[in-house]
Amino acid sequence: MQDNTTSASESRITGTRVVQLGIVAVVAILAVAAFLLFSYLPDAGAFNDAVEEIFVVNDALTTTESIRILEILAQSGTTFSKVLASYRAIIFVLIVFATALLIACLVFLVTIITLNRRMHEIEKSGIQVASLVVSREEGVVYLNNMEFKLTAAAMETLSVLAEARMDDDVLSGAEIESMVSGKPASDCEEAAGATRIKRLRDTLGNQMVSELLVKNIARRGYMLAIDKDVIKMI
Amino acid sequence: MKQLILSLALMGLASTANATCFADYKAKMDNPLRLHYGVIELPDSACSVGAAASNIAGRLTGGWQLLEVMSVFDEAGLDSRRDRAGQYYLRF
Repeated sequence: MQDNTTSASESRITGTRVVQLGIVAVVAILAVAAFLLFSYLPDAGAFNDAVEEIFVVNDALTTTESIRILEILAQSGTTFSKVLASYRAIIFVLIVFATALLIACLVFLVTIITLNRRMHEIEKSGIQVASLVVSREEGVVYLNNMEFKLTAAAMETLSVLAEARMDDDVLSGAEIESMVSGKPASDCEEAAGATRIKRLRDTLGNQMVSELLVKNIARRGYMLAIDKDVIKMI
Repeated sequence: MKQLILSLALMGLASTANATCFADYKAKMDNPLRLHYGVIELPDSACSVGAAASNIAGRLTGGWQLLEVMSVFDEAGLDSRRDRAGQYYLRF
């Protein structure tokens, strides 16, 4: 039984398989087309054979003059067959181009489909933080271009956390308190750091929800800042 | 007298004078395509359209390939074909 969940990596694997099958199909179709093209093109001797047949079938064409004319016909045919040979080369080059373009199109198509699926999954997974800009002088933090005002204390906590993240560190409550207050960690209480985190979450979370979900329209009231089609009551 | 003139005329046809069997044929050469119509003398043993083909094919030289034996005839038919065969009149 198939799982009812999909993942981005799963769709990428199916995408690769589709690309492989598609490339094989494209190359096969164009190889068949090339074979048919080449086999149906008259070969260089076709004109000579036709002139020869005319000569054999018509007994009246046996005078020296008419034989000379037949030979000239055959020679002009031979000249044209050289033109045909160059056409053949051009057709072959065009077929190679067509193959390359079709393969490129297929790869791009599958890439687009895969990206679309991944975008869809990312949209569903909630807020994806693509950028976090901390401006300490203004007391402002930008999350994905959304501006949030923070108190000086909350700003300190966020800065400490951001610096720790850049060093791949995990901080305990006491460590946070010690870095903000400047006292040694052994003198700081775990609860003090936890309180700072709670205040940061409260102020940031409150602003984020009012920006994303519960909007306040001045002098009128409040409304949900979402599309009404996405709401479902169970 | 008349017979003498005739025999002299026949001697003018060189070694063919005694032959009574001739064929006209079509031949070709490839690259570039060249064609000719010719008249050829046949031995009595190969004096038919079917038998002449292998005989003539073996005697054509210089890259010429036999396409078709048109007909087999005797001396009476030579004159009417002389002009048409041109340089291939009794050449091979």
